[in-house]
Amino acid sequence: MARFHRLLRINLTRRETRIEEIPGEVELRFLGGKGIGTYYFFKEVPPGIDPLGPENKFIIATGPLNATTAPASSRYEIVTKSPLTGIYLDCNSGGHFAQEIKATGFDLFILEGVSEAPVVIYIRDEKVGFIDARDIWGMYIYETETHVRNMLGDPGIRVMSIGPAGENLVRFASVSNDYSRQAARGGSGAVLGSKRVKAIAVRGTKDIPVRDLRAFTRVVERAREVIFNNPWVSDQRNYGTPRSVIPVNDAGFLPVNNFTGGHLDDVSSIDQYAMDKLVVQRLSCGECPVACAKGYRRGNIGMEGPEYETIGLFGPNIGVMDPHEIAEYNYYCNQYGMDTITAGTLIGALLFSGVVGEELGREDGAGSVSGGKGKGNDRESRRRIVLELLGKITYREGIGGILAEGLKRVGDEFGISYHIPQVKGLGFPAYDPRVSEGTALVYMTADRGACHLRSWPIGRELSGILPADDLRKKVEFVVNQQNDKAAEESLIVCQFPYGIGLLDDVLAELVNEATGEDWDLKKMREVGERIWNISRLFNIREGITRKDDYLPEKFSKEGLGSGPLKGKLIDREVQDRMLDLYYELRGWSRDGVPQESTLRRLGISN
Amino acid sequence: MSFLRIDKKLCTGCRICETACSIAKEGVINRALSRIRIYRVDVTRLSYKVCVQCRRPACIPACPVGAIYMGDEGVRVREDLCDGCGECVKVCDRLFVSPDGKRILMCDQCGACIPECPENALSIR
Repeated sequence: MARFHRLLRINLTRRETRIEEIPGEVELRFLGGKGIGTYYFFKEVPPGIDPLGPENKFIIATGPLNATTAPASSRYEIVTKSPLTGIYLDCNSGGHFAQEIKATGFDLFILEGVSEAPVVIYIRDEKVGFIDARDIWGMYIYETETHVRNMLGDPGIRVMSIGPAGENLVRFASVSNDYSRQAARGGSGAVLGSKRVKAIAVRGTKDIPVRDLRAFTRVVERAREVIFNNPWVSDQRNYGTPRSVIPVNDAGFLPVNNFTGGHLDDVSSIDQYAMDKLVVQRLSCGECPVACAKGYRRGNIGMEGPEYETIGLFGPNIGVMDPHEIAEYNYYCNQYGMDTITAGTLIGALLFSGVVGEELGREDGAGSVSGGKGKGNDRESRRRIVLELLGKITYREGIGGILAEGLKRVGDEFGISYHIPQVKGLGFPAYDPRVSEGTALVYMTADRGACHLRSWPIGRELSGILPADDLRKKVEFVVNQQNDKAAEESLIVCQFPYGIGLLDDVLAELVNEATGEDWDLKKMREVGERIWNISRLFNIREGITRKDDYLPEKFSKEGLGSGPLKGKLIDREVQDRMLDLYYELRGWSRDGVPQESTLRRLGISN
Repeated sequence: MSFLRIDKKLCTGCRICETACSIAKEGVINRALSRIRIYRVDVTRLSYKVCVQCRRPACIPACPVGAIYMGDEGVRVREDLCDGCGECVKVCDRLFVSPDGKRILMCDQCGACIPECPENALSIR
């Protein structure tokens, strides 16, 4: 029920497919989505392989709630080895692709091998077609989707695609779906590019069975109430993620000038009210009543967004305060198929450290080019430089050949590692981690590198629910929420309507009524814990040790440069103490290795 | 004749109407059995397809077996006559062939989708 209990294996080398059963035991121990995806990933991807080579696998995972009427249940997970970080990667995306691919009648898709020539994979229920894509190799993302849908002649088809950045194996290339949604982090687009998969077109016409439709519908009603009563939903629905600009700036952890400052006096040009004026079309992911996506269009520049991350990192982080300028950078990242977070942090580091941009004549210091009120030719030269960089990265031209290799390589090559905001090679999202010990810990310990989506303790730290003097309580909160969020990403539902993690029993009820299984939040949290241990085992096999679990040196040496938290840093000693507590609470050794007793308790064999 | 009206200024393309329709008319969750479809055609553009009860329906003469007719409440399909040949769909993309190819799907203004729309974009006109 709700599950199809089977996966579709697509071998690109031989252009063969195979249907395999997913054992019930795996479903009950890993739930779905990130869980079952991680299980197969760990089982099938040996240590030390080249993420851009034939042995990497590209797993698309759905969960038991996807494609049902559970609200906000159209998200899919990708699990693969990251070309950017060389470690475990999972990334997810909304839109409508997830519910469509689930309706083909499979829970999981494993792409393996390499296609001899560029190909579009067309999955229509159980039928899989391999369509020559040589004539569209090189096409931008939006055109690719329209072209593929028209070529296949069914307006109900949904498309996942890569752009030229993925084709050229840019290590932070994204995977896109439904035009403007991305599974962007960590370079999964380059993995598809290395397999020469230009796009995956899907059309699913299967019934989505649930145990009892009436009972399930009653739980769906309750889920809608839970969502309606979530105090964060109203702003999210009305303004989308730009709602974060004002509170983040007020609290002083906005990324300013390559994560030197934390606050600007005036963010009114890019706050939620300014962005709201630019919306031409409200859009929604499948089955979601929140509908937080904001459609932007100006001339031929169109997108869902810009979202908060892009506003932060292509905004104040690089001294830009004009939403249209930000939108243009966002547009090119979308069309080239590139992660705006990595591109934004990279360009921020390059501009700030002077590697590029001498013509700008910038002064140093927070806010010196803020308000976009720099001289006309400053703005024009900056725009020219940024657009040129995005193009050069995408096509690996000149300096782009090094930039496309990612943050760590750029740091080494230009001697600017100190200025690069990353953990394990993944660039910081648009929140300065010096804001709080909990936020620092979240970036330090996230499974795929610096990521804010695994846990979000900052609100409770600022409000005092997690007091400043109780490090253990903060660490405990992060561990539990990381586990809970991993379970949420196994269902898979979106965190915006339901909150981050497992905040209401209705999530377990939805799964139980859909599948006939017997879940509670405690069992789900345990799945999350299991996932965190497996991804850690994978990372250790790839050479990750405790020394990789720290913030870059700058964040323990220099404090935030401006705002209410001016001067705040997270010193090395605090990071050490947090790691000791974190490993202890996770049942890992002092070096961050999962202990035998922990693995045995979770039923994991190494 | 009354028909289901979609307010394009309010619709966000969430497609909750599609599952509401399939549940009401078919008793299952299956968007491919819905009589209303919201497609995505461009990065910020949707396309909205549902029978709008044309005054001069193209589907009626297109049907080779006379399964589509003008009834008291509007254009309807006789399920016992329709064999899913799809000739009507060729002249109107507001009708849909079922996945098993055996029948066509046409909105009959039952209104089940209306209360489900989170944007209040649906009404009977």
